[in-house]
This record gives sequence, structure tokens and C-alpha cells, in this order.
Amino acid sequence: MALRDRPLKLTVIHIVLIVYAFLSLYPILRVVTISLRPGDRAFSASLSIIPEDATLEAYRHILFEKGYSGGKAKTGETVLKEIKEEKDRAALKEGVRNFIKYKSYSVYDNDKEKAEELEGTEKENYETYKNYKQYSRYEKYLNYIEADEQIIDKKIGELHNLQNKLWYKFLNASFFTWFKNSMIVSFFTVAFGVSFAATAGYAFSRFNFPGKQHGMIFFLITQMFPPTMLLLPMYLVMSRLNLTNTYFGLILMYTTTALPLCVWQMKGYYDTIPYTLEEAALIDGCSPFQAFYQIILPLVKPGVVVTALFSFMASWTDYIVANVIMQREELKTLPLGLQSMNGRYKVEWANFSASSILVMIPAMILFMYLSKYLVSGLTLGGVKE
Amino acid sequence: MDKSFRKFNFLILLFLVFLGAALLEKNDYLGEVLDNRDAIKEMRAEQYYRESFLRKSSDFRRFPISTTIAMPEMKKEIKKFETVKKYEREVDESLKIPNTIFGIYILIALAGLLVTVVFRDFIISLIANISILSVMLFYDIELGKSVVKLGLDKKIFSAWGVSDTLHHIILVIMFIYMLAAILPDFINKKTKRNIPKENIENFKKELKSKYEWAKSNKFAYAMLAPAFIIVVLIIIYPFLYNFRISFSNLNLKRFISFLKGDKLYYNGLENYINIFSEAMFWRTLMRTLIWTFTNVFFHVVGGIFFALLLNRELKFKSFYQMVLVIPWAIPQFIAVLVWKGMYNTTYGTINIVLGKIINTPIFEFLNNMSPETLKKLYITVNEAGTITGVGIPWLSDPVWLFTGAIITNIWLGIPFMMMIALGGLQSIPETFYEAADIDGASAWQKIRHITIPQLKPVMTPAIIMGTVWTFNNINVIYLLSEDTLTGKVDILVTYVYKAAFNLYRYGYAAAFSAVIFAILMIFSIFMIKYSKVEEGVR
Repeated sequence: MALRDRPLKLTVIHIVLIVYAFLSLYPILRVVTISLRPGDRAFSASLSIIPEDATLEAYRHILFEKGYSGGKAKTGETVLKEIKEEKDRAALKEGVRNFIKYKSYSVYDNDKEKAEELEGTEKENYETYKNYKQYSRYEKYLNYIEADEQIIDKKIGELHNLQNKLWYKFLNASFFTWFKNSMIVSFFTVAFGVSFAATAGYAFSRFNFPGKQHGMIFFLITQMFPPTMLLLPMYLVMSRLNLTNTYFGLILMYTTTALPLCVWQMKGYYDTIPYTLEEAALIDGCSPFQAFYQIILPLVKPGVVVTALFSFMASWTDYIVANVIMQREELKTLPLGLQSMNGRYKVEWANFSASSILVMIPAMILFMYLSKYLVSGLTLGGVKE
Repeated sequence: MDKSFRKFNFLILLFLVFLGAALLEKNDYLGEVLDNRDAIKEMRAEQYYRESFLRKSSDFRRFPISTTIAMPEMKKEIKKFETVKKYEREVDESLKIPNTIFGIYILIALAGLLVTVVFRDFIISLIANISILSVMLFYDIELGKSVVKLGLDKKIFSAWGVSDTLHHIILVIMFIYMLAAILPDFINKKTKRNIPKENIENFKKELKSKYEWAKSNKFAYAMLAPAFIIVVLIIIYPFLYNFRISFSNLNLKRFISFLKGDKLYYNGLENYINIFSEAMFWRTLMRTLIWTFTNVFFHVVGGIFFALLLNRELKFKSFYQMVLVIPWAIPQFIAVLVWKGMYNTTYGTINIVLGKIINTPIFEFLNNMSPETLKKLYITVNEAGTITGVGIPWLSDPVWLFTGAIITNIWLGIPFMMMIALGGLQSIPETFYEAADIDGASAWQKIRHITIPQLKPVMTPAIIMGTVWTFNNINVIYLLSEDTLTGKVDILVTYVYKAAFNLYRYGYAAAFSAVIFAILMIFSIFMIKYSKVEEGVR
């Protein structure tokens, strides 16, 4: 429908829309401002969007430095380097060898009476064992020590070069870990959510079977549970199934919490497509599943897209559920990582704002790109003609 | 029997099943209280014993010879203490009896309800209900006896008594409800009084035909299965588990041992009684209702308003649409934290902007006011008496914090309603408006008689969902208030969240969640009936 308006009315409409658009945008501009300020200066009486002393320091810190400790785990080379600094390599080799040679004398460590009874060479050997005992902790690195020193030096040099490269820093900083976790969880949530909702919605839309109406109401009612009602028991179930601190557990939670709404959504979309299409397909010899998969599913693409967007947003922005399920540092998702900067006693304002912007960007791009689909039918199972 | 009753039957059945199960489990009723009482008594007895011993030992010092004389007395004391303890143990044992009886009683009530539902026969239901009443009486006598016989620790019995009275009130209400479910049939006599045998046969026939029907829809069930299984596993099981926890006194102390495999300690309806007897609950409920309806009202009105503005030929239309969706697109907790920064009293954008507005010539009359009135208007004044700005305490005053939370949530919620309204508007055929134009309708008449009725089917489900989501929104109020002003700005869900995860009162929080769920359930049953969403289902 398009209404034709007089110019005066149009101007008023434009003004109202511009004002509201500004109001919608302003909080985000505010985050941008804080993220550009040097230091943690959250509070300032100035209202300017771009501060005079704007820097991108916070973004650099978040992307490349936060949580970066020169690589993930200690490699053999780094350990060796530490050893090298600590001890002369030849002496070390000798020490470790001697330790291994007389290792069997460790029996007497706990039995001092027997140790005193030892005589002759036995006693001497035990003394040497005691002298070289301190090298026991280097024992497992003996292979490295034996290897060609030049190769090792080269490897250490490579690692050094690597550690100075930006992409290496990026891949090993905590932001990338959070981002990766969020991506994995969101991707699978969307995949599961959409496939389950597409099939269930189809069943509700096309078939009349006993329990259909109750099923629909059942899915609607699950939306009415207060979040706290499910959180604690869910945690108990998850810990019984050993699913806490796993990607799968979190994916399962997000899929199920978003699923009922998605089912209703998809059902609404299927309802807009005439049944005659499938009838024709079935007459032509399609199986029911083929009719669904090859004929109907491509037609409800906008519905699938909106459903996917909903599942994505549910998993991308959630803090409360993730906080309960993911407790290990390397499994944290973006919102959890963000919250860790928003501490009770110290808030890293600039870092927090910069990473907020980085979290928002994918979600906002998706939303803006898909906004045309959003309008074409958020139906929520309503009657749509 | 009236159909609406059957829906409530489900809820009541569910509640009773869990209460019955919780009570029949072989735990001490009031387990916690008894534990504590034992400990307290032992402590008191020990103290008494020690004091008396000290008193006597001081006597010994004075009269060393009297030691031998004091010994029998001490032995007497100890014996007395032992008999008291034994007696108390008997009390504890006897307390378990009403518990079991009550569990059986609940199950019989259940059976009565089932009879009412399945047979729909007045006489049978009446017999079942009367038997329930008689058990109730029997139970009462037992309890009365035990109280008279063993009435020792008055405090504990009074606690026991209160919860007991409430049990009775609930059960009497149930009884009246059951009668009400059957009476219309009996009075009208429109429906024949069915003989149970026939009824059962009909029931069987119905089942058989349903089975055939279901058999012919295998494909539909197969399509439905994955979604259904996963929802039952991850939502329904925890949901039912929540009911179990709500009858227990799970708290931080017990939680750790519970996770290690310890049993739950049930305390009957105590959590529910606590909730309903707190003034806090009713105040929070009122606040929640205000919160929900203000928010939903502005969401809907704002959403439709902007949808109407956008639904025309406009330059930059897609740009506006993109920007207006932003509040929905950003993660809610980031948005709320940003608003929190904007509400800061001295550095927050809102107060600064208001201060700048006040300094414009239009508001010059403010300079003539006395400092006291200005202070009441939250306008800050320096020592010389000139106006410096606005100092509304957005984050420290409950009223202002609540206002701020509502503003934030309205900002967050408008885009969703706008998008739905826009979708609805675009599906209204243009011919309707053309016809109205020919008939000479005004703009308002067109909105009133075409737009709103056409939008209704699209908006109603969205409004129901929006209401539920607003009701259940933890983020805004929790993040804005955090640890301050607990109980003064909280809505029901944030109150529960704080009770569970800040104060670790898990049992209490579970009961509170169940109450919230019941409120939402009743609301949506009425809304679904009223708006006929079900017709969309058929």
C-alpha cells in the first residue's frame, strides 16, 4: 500500500523519523565515543561524539593483546629455552644422564636406615644419585637436549618471529577464543534450530492429527516459563549428563529455548503456501518428505531466514545461560568475555566498549541485511491472508 | 462438565502429583527444623549441665567434703536429661505419622479428581469427595491428639499448625471446586447421567478411533519427533524438577551435598506460605503489573505509530527502517549498560541535556524561584544562586530508577512491534482504502475502521508474546539496579533471580518461579480464549 501525501505532511514525517532514528542510534554512538577515549575515562561531561584525543588503542588491545601470553601452551622449544638460560647445556646433559643411570637408588630415599648400611661402590653410587637428583625434572626433555642444537635454535627463532606477527597475536588473544566459541555455538544452534523448526512447523501446518492443537499450545506454554524456573534444574540435568563445560550442552540449551517460538514462526509461514502444490507433487510420485524438502522448503526461504536470525540472536547475545553452563576460561563466549571486563570493582570501560562494538557488528549487519525479510512476515502463527 | 474446568484440572493435578510424591518420599517432614531443634536442645542441655556442674564445683571448693554428697544429685541430673531426650525423640517419631497420612490423603484426593474428570458422574464424584472429607476429619483428629499429647515445643507446633491450616484451606477450596465442576450438569440435567460402564466403553471407543487416526498420520509424527523430544528433555523435565525443588528447603548449605547425591529435604508448602504471606510479594506483583502494562502499551502504540509513518512512499525508507531496528539488533545487556551510563547523575547524557535545555531563555523564569523549590525540581544550584544543571537521581532513587527502566525497555521493545505492524500493514489490500476514499472517509475513520481491525489478527499473538516477554525480562531491571535497591524496584523475575543466584535460596526461588508461571499461565489462558488464537491453530 502506498499513500500519496502532501509535501508539508511528508516533511513532518521526515522530521519525526529523523529524530527517532537519532534516538535509536544515540546509545551506540555513545559506546563508540567511550571506546575511542584514551584510558578508562568513562565519565566525562562532554557530549561530543568523537573525542579530541581519539585513539584506537582499545581496539588494538582487545584484538591483539588481551589474554595474549606468547602462544597457547608451552611448547618443547620454549621449555628448552628456559632450561638453556638456566643451565649450561653440557652440564645439564651430563647431569640428566647421571641421574638416569643411578635412578634405581631412589629406593633408599625413604629408607634412611638402609641407606646408612650401604658400603663400597654401592655407597658411592648412592652419593652420585643424590648429587644429580636435582636434574630429575629435566628428564623428559632429554630427547630435546639430544637433538641437534642448531635446529632447535632455528625453531626458537621462528617462534620469536611468529610471536611478533599480528595474525599470530590475534589468533592467540582471548577475543579470538571468545569469538570462536560464540561462532561455533551460534552456528550449530542455528543449524539444529532451523532444521527442527522446519520439520515440526510443517507437521503442524499440513496435517491434522490427534494432539495437534495440544501440541501447539504446549509449545506456546513453554514460552511462559520464567527463565529462573528452568535455569537451576537445567543446570542439574546438564551436570548429571556431564554436559556442563561442553559446546554440545550449550548448543542444546539454546536450541531448545529458541525452538518453540521458531516452530510457531515456521508454521505461520507454511500456512501462507497453498496445499495444492504438494498434492501435485504427490501425484507426480514424490514421497511426502520429498514434497516437503524439494517443493515447499525453497518457497518458505524468508521464513527460514527469519527463524535462523532469531536462533542466532538468542545464542549470540545470551549471557545468563552461558554463565551457568560455561565456567572454563577457554570455553567462554563473547558476552561472558565482555562481562569479565565489567568487574564489580574495576570496569575497563574503553576495552568493554570496544569489544561491545565488535560484538554488535555481526548482529547488526545481519539484522540490517535481513530487515526486508523481517517485514515480509513476522507472523508468529497468526492468520495472514 | 464445563470445558474450562478441565484445563484447570490439569494444573491442579500436576501440583498435587508433586506435592503427594514429595510428602510420600521417606524423608523427615520439616527435616531441617527437626535437625536444628535437636542440635539446639543438645546445646541447651549441655549448657545447663555445665552450669550446674560449675555451680556445684564451686561448692566443692568451698566444702571439699561434700563431693560425695553431690555425686548422686549429678547422676540424677544426667538421668533426667536422658529421659527428656528420649521423650523428645518420641515426639519426632510421632511427627512423621501425619506426614505419611497427609501424603496418602493427597493421593486419595487425586483419585477423587480423576473420578470427577473421567466418569463425569455426580454420585461417584460425591462419594469420592465425601471419602476425602472423612479422611480429612480423621487426619485432623490424629493431629489434634498428637498436639495435645505431645505439645512440648510450642514454636515448632505453631509453624506446623500454620502450614496445616493452609493445607486445609487449599483442600476445602479444591473440594468446593470439584463440586462446582459437577453441579451444573446435575442441576441442568441436560446431559444424561451416564452409567459408568457405558462411559468406559465410550471412552475405549474414542481411544480406538483416535489410535486409528494417529496411525494414519505417521509422517506428521516423524516430522514432529526431533523437536518434541528435545523440548521435553531439556524444558519439560527441568520444569517438573522445579516443582520438586519448590517443596524442599534447598539452599547453599544443602546444595553442595545435594549435588554430591544427597537427598532433598522437603518442607511441604512452607515456601509457598512464605511467599504469599510476605507483603513484598504483593507489592512486587503490583509493580510487575505496572511494568508490564506500561511497557506493552507503549510498545504497541509506538510500534504501530512508526509502522504507519513508514508504510508510504518515502525517500530513504529502507535507511529509516534499518536504523529504527537497531535497538532490537544490539545485545540487550550491552544496551542496558549503556543506558546505565547515560543515567549517571553528574556525567550522564540525559541530565546534561536536560541541564542545557534549562539554560535556554525559555526557562528563565526558573531564576526567580527559591532554591528550595528548585531543589524539589531536582535542579542543582551553586552557592551564588545561579542554576548549574539538572541532578535527577536516576540510579539511586527507586521511583526514578523504575521510570528509567521503563524508558529503556520501551526503547528496546518498539522495533519488534514496529516490524510486525509493518508486515501486517503491507498485507492490507489497497482496494479497502480506495473504497473508503470513494465513500468519503476521513483519515482517522480509515485507521479506525480498516487499519486496526485488519491489524488485529497479526498483532494479537505478538502482543501476547510481548506481554510474556516483558513480564519475564530480567536484563533491564537487574542490570540497572544490580545490588542496590533490592526489593524497591524489583519485578517478580528479578526478585527470584536475586533470591536464587545472589542469596542462594533455591527452594524458595523454585516455589516463587512456580507462582510466576501460574500467573502467566492463567493470563495466557484468558488471553488465548479471548483473542481466539486457537482458531489459527486449527
